[in-house]
Amino acid sequence: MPYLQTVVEPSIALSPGEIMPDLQDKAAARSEFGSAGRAVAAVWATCLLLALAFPQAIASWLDDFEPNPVVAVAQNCTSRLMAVSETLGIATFSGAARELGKSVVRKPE
Amino acid sequence: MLFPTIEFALFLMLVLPLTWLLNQKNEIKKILLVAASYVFYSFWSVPFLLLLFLSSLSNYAFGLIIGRGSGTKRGSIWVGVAVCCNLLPLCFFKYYDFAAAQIRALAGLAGSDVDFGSTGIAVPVAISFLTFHGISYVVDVHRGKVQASRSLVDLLLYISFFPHLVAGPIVRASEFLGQLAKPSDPRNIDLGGSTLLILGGLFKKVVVASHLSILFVDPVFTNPKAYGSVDLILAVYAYAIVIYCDFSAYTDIAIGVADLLGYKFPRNFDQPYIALSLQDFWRRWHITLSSWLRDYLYIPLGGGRAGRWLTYRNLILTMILGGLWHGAGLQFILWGALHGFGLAAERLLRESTAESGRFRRFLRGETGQTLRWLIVFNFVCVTWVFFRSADANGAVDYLATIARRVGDGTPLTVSPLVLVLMMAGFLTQLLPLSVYAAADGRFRKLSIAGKVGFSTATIWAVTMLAPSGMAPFIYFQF
Repeated sequence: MPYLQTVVEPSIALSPGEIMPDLQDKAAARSEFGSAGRAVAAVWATCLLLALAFPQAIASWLDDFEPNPVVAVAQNCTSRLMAVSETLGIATFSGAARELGKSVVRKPE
Repeated sequence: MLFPTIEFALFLMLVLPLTWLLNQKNEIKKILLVAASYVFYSFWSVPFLLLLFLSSLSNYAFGLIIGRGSGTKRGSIWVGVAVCCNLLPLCFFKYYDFAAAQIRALAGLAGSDVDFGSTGIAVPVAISFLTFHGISYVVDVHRGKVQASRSLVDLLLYISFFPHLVAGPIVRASEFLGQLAKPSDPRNIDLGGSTLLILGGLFKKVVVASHLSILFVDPVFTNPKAYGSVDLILAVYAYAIVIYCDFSAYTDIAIGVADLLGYKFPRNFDQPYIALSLQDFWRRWHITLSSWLRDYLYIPLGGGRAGRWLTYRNLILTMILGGLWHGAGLQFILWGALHGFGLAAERLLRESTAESGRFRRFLRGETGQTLRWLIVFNFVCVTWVFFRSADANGAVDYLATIARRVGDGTPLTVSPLVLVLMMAGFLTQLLPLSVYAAADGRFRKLSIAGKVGFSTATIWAVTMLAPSGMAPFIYFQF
């Protein structure tokens, strides 16, 4: 009977955390890391996709800086990004869309 | 550093992963966030970083002193000193020139020549929000609502945390310091909600507010005499949209970014233009400022406990000071006074009519509600004319020009695009909350790739429609 009692009464039974504390902690840590990782991944992926979709914005932003080695490296990377984007046809499409956007919101004379 | 810029995107791409990597080392994480916030502020002004630091340091010291004598007379004296010390830089940078000019003008009327000179210094960005946070901290310590912070880093972060530093929302110490005590729980990140807030904020600022300003509001308010009455009236409504979309965009993005970093901020707007009374409007507009004014100004003045007429006085005084906070100019004082008198009149009407009487029953009915909405919305819009104009005379001239130009046949200049943008702005107010809830629910169900795809497409579309060059948010000047 004592055996049966242990089975039917949850208060007597050990909690999963007491039986496998390490496993439970690791699962919680993984879940925590997953939530933060998803947020970071979402921000990074969005920014990188935007850079690929409209690299002209980065290029003109970099043009505003005084020339220096860091800017030169960044401009070099941007021109490569631009080449990839143009090969895929995205930069050209974005350029046309931007011109259209400008004409839509242009101040009337 | 403005939110909708490449600089901020790079800044966030760096700060966000570092924050979460250091999450379990909470003290180091907080130091990182303080450093990041100081870097963020340095894009506006490097010399004023010292002001930011000294403000935090003095409030930290005042907090400890007040905390020791909390509730005693000595504590009250110290809280008075602390409030004065917080107000001193605000008065110097923001009001000295205004006060000197008023005294000079008055002396000129009396035939004497008085000149206090001018500071010649631009008002530091964020000084008002800095003051609000400092005062709320020391007063809350005195009231026992929050314990004095033993950690200088916590206080530095509370005052300077970059999402709220420049233009709010005003976060109370009791809401924020507790969140710093232990590492943030990443499971509390509301990725769907914060992404939608950020995307909505970008749309409201970049597409609606910026274009409405450039295409219509700025030209009309700069030279109202060149426009007919319909244009002038439409520009008033358009400005109501601009200021809502601009300011709520900033606080929405701030709330979203703070959430991604693991910190919760209070809500700051709740469809203010659907309010049926002025009291209701102030419960929906810049909620953190309204509640700050209520808790640290209206209630200390006596609030509603001091008798009927003193209550009206307190309401009017609170709103006048709230107006003056927005800017050193007679137009802001008039804007605040109009709202103060409006609130007092509303209260007088409520107190002098029976709850179950015919008049109140009518106001609760459908026609009454429509009438109330029309009165409140138009009252708020008219007061925005004072808020937008360069000075009080400009506001009066603007309103007088509307009256003079009625039916004079001046051709309409408003473009269909402006009307579409105004419609989009109004939709943010008039759409039922269930529509937002449904959109939110659908977005949350998307996979991470879906969320990224939607976000990229939205920001891309916003970028395509963005004006060349981004004007700062309106509330940066306050």
